[in-house]
Amino acid sequence: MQKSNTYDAIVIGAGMSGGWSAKELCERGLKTLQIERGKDVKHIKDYPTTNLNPWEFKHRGDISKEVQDANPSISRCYAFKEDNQHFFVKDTEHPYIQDEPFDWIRGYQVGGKSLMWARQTQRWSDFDFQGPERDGFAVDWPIRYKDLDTWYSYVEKFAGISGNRDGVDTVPDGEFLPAWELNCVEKYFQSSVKKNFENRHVIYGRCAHVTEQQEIHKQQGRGQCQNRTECERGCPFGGYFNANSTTIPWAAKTGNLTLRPDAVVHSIIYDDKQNKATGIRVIDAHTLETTEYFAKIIFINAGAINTNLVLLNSKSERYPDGLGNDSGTLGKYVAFHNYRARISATCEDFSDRKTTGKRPTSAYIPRFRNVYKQETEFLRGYAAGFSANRWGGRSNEGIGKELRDNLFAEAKLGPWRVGSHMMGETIPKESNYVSLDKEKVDKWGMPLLHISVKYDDNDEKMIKDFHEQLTDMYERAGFVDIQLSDDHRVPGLDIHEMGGVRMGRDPKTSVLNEWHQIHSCKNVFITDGACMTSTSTQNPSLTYMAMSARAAHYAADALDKGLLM
Amino acid sequence: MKRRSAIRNISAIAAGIALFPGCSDGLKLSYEDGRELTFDDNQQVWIEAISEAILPKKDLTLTTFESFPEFVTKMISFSKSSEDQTRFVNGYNKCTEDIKTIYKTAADQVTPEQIVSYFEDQLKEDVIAAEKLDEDIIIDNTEKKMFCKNLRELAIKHLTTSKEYQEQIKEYKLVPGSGTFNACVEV
Ligand SMILES: Cc1cc2nc3c(=O)[nH]c(=O)nc-3n(C[C@H](O)[C@H](O)[C@H](O)COP(=O)(O)OP(=O)(O)OC[C@H]3O[C@@H](n4cnc5c(N)ncnc54)[C@H](O)[C@@H]3O)c2cc1C
Ligand code: SF4
Repeated sequence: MQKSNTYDAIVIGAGMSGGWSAKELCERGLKTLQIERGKDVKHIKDYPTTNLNPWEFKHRGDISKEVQDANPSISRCYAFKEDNQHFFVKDTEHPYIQDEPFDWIRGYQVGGKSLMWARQTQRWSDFDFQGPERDGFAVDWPIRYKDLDTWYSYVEKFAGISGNRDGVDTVPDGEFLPAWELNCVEKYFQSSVKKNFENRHVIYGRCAHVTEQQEIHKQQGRGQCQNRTECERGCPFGGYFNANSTTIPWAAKTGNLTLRPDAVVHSIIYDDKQNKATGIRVIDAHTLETTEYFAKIIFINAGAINTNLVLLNSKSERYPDGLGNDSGTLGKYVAFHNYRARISATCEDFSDRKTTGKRPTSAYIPRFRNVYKQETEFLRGYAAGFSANRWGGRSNEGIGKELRDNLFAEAKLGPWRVGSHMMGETIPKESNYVSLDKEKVDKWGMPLLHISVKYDDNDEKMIKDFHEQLTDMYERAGFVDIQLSDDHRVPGLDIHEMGGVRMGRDPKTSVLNEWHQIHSCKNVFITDGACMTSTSTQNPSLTYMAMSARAAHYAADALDKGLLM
Repeated sequence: MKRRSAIRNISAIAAGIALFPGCSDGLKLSYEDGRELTFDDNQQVWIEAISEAILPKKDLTLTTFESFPEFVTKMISFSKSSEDQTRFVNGYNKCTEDIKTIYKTAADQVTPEQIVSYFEDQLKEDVIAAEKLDEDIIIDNTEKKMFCKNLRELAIKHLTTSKEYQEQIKEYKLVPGSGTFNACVEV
């Protein structure tokens, strides 16, 4: 039995980062078992709504009151709609305990959240990797930008990232496919910011779309993006990057991948005598039967918080508080992105211009606060989106003939509306943590997770500064009718939760080393958001991809050299 | 009687007053808490008449998932709490009673102008401060207003999500094609 359940490598999770781990390990010739708790989702075949028109949706895009009431957390996610509700985990089906309010947005299936993501892919820079050391929080990252640079290029070429080479040092340039054009108001704002502010930039939001098919995309069977902007349903052209269309089929093509969906990893098996992890315990999602699988190396890519859960639940004599938890930091220093603040306004110019067609990204304002020196009362900074739109609308006033005439009248173009949302870095703290409930377990026998994560004063100050600085930038551009808001969303809804299994130089204060290995159990690698020492302001997934590819090659090299056996 | 209990209202409706019938099986309104009401016969005419008056579309060919009465029943069951479903049904009954009384007419004789005029009144802001009214009247008014507002919104949604409206008026294309985004064109 043990023999037939033995592989060279195991990857836990078949989402954004797990797809990369599996692809790289398989390409390096390792027989790899990829374990996924959710169902299989085959590219195109399992995108049930991908080709539906608006009139073909039974509820015209709405989610029922019953589902909303029962699942308040996912119902607050902007992307949760009738057309892709099947990709979201229902709060009720997979409960957790909110010691502090936390909207945990999950996708349990092959593809994970890579099916529903918004595809924004900005690189991190040394301003991020050096941040904790410079500003005296968390612990120093054991890696720098130079360690990831080539791996960013590697994953960008394969995934297909569209962007411009902007020469902005906070968001280094990469290997880009052509960008969509910024519209005239976005370009105008870009030049206004350049003229009026030093070291502030407005650039195109780099995104994981194949805007020009390369040979590698042909080989993947992916076509050029057709500007549908229905990506979260799964794209029939493979126009955007997800694990289902790209990394997982590529791994399968090597003949080295065994994908096992509907299998919940309960814990890692640690052998005290051999001083290493030897395998995993898995619960069948339907029969609840337990099976053990064995391998030389294990990659955990279950999504940041679930990776914490698996490790905390992996108890042994050597590790009574969870695998690798010698430092006592496992589950702690969880952080996220602060998306609470918004600004919107009207641009009165360019009334003779409009856009036509659709484009699945917009503009991006890289972080400009506290970059070169500490200049505010709060630590770190924020990036922001920027978009300008001009909607053609029809009045729905009136009743009877008047209403009908209005609905059929020529659309009237409104003014240009502009808006930005904040993407703030939060500071990882010991007091922001996840832990296991001592008694309650879920249907699969996994302890329920307590989540205790909240904002602090630094975040409040940052929101105020975002409103002030963006107001200044908008006013200098001549935008009027400026409106500020703070939606007081709870943590989690940013869907960029990170940390709990942080990397660091010192085993006394961190769990992972510079190669994502558990300091004291080197054949276990963590390359999803759990490993992040700090959060930066940039969307994190591209960095998880680069880290996964880098660590997988390191692991394969180490095995080649006879290490990690 | 000061406050009407939702339970009493529901049983009154279940006992006889019915909404959106028409098809021989009747149309079902499922309450969020699992209860179901079946709407039968004579009021199909009302709902058709009201819908046509609010937003005339008899002359249009529209491809939609379902007929308007079916759509209303489905969306009210789907998107409202049990309390709001009850209010909607009560509002419906009161509005149709009002129209019958005011215009001394039956469902198949009421004119679109009469319905429009009635709806216009209902959709107006309250002129008298609510607290000065008897509580029963407030409930009556709220339910009627809610019914009129919801029905109008649903009529708009039913039309604007139809194939023809999407394709011809909103120029919707499922696959616009690469190169179809123009960042800046003259109006
Ligand atoms: C609406 C939305 C918009 C987003 N937009 C962006 C964006 O623009 N840019 C960006 O960078 N990021 C974005 N994100 C976040 C991005 O999706 C995540 O950062 C990314 O998917 C994380 O990758 P992962 O591999 O860690 O987790 P996932 O992709 O979630 O994959 C984890 C997988 O592990 C499985 N798993 C969990 N526990 C177990 C277990 N015990 N046993 C077996 N399998 C398990 C899960 O079922 C899942 O399939 C967005 C997310 C959403 C939902
Ligand atoms: S925008 Fe591109 S990637 Fe998204 S659904 Fe459309 S074609 Fe696919």
